[in-house]
Amino acid sequence: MSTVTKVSSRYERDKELFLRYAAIIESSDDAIVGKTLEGIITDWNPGAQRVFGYSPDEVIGKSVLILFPPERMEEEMDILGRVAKGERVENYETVRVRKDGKRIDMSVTVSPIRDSSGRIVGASKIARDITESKLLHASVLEAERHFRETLDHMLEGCQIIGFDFRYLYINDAAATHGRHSKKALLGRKMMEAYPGIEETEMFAFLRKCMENRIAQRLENRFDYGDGTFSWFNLSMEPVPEGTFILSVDITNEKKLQVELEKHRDHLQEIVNERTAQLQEANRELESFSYSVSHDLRAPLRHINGFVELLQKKLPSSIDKECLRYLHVISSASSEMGHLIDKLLDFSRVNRASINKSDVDVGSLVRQVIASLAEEAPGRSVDWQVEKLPDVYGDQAMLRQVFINLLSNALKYTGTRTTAKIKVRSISGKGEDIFVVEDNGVGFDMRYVSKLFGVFQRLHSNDEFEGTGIGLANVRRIIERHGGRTWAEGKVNEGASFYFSIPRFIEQRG
Amino acid sequence: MITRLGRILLADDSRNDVELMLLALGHFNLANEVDVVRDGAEAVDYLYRGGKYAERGGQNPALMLLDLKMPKVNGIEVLRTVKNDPLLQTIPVVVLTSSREESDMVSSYELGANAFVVKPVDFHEFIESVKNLGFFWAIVNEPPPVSRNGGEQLEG
Repeated sequence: MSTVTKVSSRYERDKELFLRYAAIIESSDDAIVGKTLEGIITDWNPGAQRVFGYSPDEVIGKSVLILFPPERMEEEMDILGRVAKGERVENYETVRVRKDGKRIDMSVTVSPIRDSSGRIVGASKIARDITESKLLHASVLEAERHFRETLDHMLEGCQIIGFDFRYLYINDAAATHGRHSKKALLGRKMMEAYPGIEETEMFAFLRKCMENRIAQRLENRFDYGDGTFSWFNLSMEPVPEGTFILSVDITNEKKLQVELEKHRDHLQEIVNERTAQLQEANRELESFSYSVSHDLRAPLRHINGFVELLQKKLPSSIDKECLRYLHVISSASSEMGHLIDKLLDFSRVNRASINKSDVDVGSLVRQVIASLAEEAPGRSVDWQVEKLPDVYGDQAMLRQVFINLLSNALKYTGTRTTAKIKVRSISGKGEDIFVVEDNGVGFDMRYVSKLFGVFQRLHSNDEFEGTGIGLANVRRIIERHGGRTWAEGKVNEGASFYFSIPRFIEQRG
Repeated sequence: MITRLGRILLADDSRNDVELMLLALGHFNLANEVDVVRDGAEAVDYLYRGGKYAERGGQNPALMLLDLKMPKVNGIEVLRTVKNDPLLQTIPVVVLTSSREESDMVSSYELGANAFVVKPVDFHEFIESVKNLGFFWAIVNEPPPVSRNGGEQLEG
């Protein structure tokens, strides 16, 4: 009884164990295949069906070789041979073929199966699909290769320097920059490759990066020791191995910069030279006008004076013609003195410094008109002044402009019963335009270009007195304000004189 | 009319101008009171009794008519010398020049010129100007006492 119980309990125990193993095998994701030493499949778990695509019915009793790619057929002989000797083949990486023909990367472990007497009767094979992990690994390798290749062939120099200042990595560009082969540098210390480099500014930056682990940037002139050098933009970044140095060759840019600076200096020289010439010309002009003013006036004064003295000494019997000649001499010399004075006024307009402020043009015009009207009593003049804008300019110079234009208008309307003189303004683009109009004798537009020239006149002195300086002064003053001058007229139908003054909003208080 | 004061020093290199000025000053019988020097160096000699003026007696001039553009030492330099010397600075100096240069006028006044007159081209105006100048400075105006003291000190 006890024996039966023992037997039955052992049987129960074995059955339980068997079921447990069977459940493990059934539920495994790996393909678990049993085969004879001849390679005939005897067992095929659901994992095997999933991995290879065959159902148990399709493969049990068939040769395991249906899972092999043609070039790996011999493998099976080898594996089975080893298993037959009792060896175990572990994590053997190989390739198998699925039912649908697709190849899969596998890690295979093959172990012998023994019968109860210990004789090897077959083999168990546990195969794992490692296609994905294989792919992952390959892609990691590929990425690494890709990055390394990119780094290797970058235009920028890349190097990794170890904490002991050995070259750990160096790309093509960096080797070119350093004029050494990669082989000659890798593994060597910088101070061996470039004796004296530890004294350079660049090395001081590198040391700082190594020690303080702070990125450094610098523009560095690298001397090759044979008198040649190149310029580099260096970026140093701390990396776990030491320091990564990125170098960009900026020698050409530097050369260009030097070249540009040279050109700029040259231009500056030319400007200085020209300025000096201009200043010299200005000085000459000044000394010229000084001597005109001084040396030419003196002889005129003498002519004038001595002609007067002569007139007094002459007997009263002298004939009228002689007296007239003397009178002509003295009035001609007076006239020339007057012209010289006007010419000097003009040169002063050119040389005087300009003092700008806000100018109330309306009241300026009214003041000028008041003083002109006083000087021309008995004239019937209809003055009209429209509303005029303020401008930013030199008050005294602008007064001179209106004196010249308005006294011209007054002069050339002298033949009219009632003179009509009008001042108005036009708002132009970025400028104010002022107009002085009259109903005087006007002028022929064919000669308009001569109006503003120095000593240019469109009327004889007998018709209207004048020196031909007034409008030249107007033009100069307006030009010095950055404005323009022009005129319109018709013979006997009046004239209009225009000038513009740019608006400088930003300069106003 | 009799002058009560010292002489008039006329510094001008132009003989013509000198002649015309003497003529004008003659209107007040001032012509004989005028000493004429032909350039700035001579003017300085006159004032300091140097060179040919070593034997000059008398006081400082009562008036100096000074042309600016003269050979050797120009008028501005003479003016600077006069106005920087405590013994000479009270001499009234009238700058008389052909030049209307503003810079000349500015530096003349800055140096202490008492008047600045541009010689007119017109004869009558010229004669009038000089006459007025002579009348005002040599006859109407009372020179500061220091001027005469200065002169006396120099004499002594």
